[in-house]
Amino acid sequence: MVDVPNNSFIPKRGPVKKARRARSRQVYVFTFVSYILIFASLVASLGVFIYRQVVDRQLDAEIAALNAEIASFSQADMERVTAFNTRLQQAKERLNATVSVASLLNIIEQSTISTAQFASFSLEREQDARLVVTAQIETDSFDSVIFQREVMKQNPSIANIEVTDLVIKDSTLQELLKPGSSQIFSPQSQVNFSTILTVDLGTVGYNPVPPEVFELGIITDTPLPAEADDALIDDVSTDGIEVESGPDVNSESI
Amino acid sequence: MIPSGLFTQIIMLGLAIGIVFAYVQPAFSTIGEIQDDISVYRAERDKVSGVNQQLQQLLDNMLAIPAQDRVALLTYIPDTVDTVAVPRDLQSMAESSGLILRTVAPVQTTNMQLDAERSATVPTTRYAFQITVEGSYQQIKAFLLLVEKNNYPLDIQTLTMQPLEGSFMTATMQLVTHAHLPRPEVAAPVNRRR
Repeated sequence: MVDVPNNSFIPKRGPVKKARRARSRQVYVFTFVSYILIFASLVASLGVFIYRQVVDRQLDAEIAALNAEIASFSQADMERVTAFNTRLQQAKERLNATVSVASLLNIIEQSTISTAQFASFSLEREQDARLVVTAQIETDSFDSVIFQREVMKQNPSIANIEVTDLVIKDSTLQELLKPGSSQIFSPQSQVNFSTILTVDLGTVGYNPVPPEVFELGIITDTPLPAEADDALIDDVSTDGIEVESGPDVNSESI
Repeated sequence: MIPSGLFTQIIMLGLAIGIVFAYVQPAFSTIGEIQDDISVYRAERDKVSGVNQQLQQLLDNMLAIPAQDRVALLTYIPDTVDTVAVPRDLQSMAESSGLILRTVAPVQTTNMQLDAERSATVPTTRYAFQITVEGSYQQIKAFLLLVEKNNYPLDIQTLTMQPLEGSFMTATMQLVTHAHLPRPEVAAPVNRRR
């Protein structure tokens, strides 16, 4: 057998290799969105977690600050201030409602005619509103009663006057009518009546003056300074009428 | 058959949505609530701070009042009225006026709560004293003037004058003095808890 020479000038060809086709790398929108979303959700979770920690710390700080403020509140101081304020208001109210009964007596003296005489006198204070004076007055005639009523009406301090229980007592006539009486007739008579006067407290308010301090039963001349009252009580109305005793005052008849 | 890449993407998308709805959204709501709480606490803190500042200012004002004036106020409206000291003072005033003191005694103790409701006054505790004196009209007037000048209030509630022999007369009067009546206690601040 003849060997076939293997030295052909024709190059031998190896097995045919298929040319590799480059794979196409396509990025789909869905893939992109899903990646974006997963990363965004993870980043958001981390951010929310961190922000939550920050906000929690802020809340703790606020609570601590509030507790510190509450702790710094002094209930004792509040009670002291409240009690002092209440006492101050009470003092102001009482000072405003203070009445000068002596001034009232002066007013009545000035309004009493010379022929009238007080048989009894009573005064009653109705709350902090008015004074009601009830008096039994003796005069010599009905004219005097009318005159007395008019004089009192003209006094601006007297809000109201009412005359009641008008009684005429003619003692001389009664004596004359007695059996065996030797008295002669005399026109002398006595007219008694009751009067009710109403006086508003504001018209007889007390005008404070430096007081005489009573200490252990001894009157001392250590009045409080005027600025003391000003510091404590402001806006106190002291517009009371101070009536001085004049020459026409009929104090003897009271 | 579903490709594995698409399956992964669906899983990722679901996971993202799950994270958002399961954690991010509730956490956001919680943060909003916490921020609201912070605003509330801040506002409350400002209020408490304002009250504290006002209280401090009032306290400073109170302490700025001279001690003498505060003593005068305590004398004018004391915590309680000494029911022995007042008759003693009345006796001193009667003697100073030249009056003969017949009787003096405490009558009753009431508070002015009912009166306050009617006349809108600040309530006080009232101490009433009945006194009977004898003397001239001028002496009685002098006594009344002394009563008015007293350094604590002695309101004349009733006064009755009746003539006696000569120019003498008897005067019976009811005098009322006042003591401090505390207002209802201020409510203590409530401790806030988270």
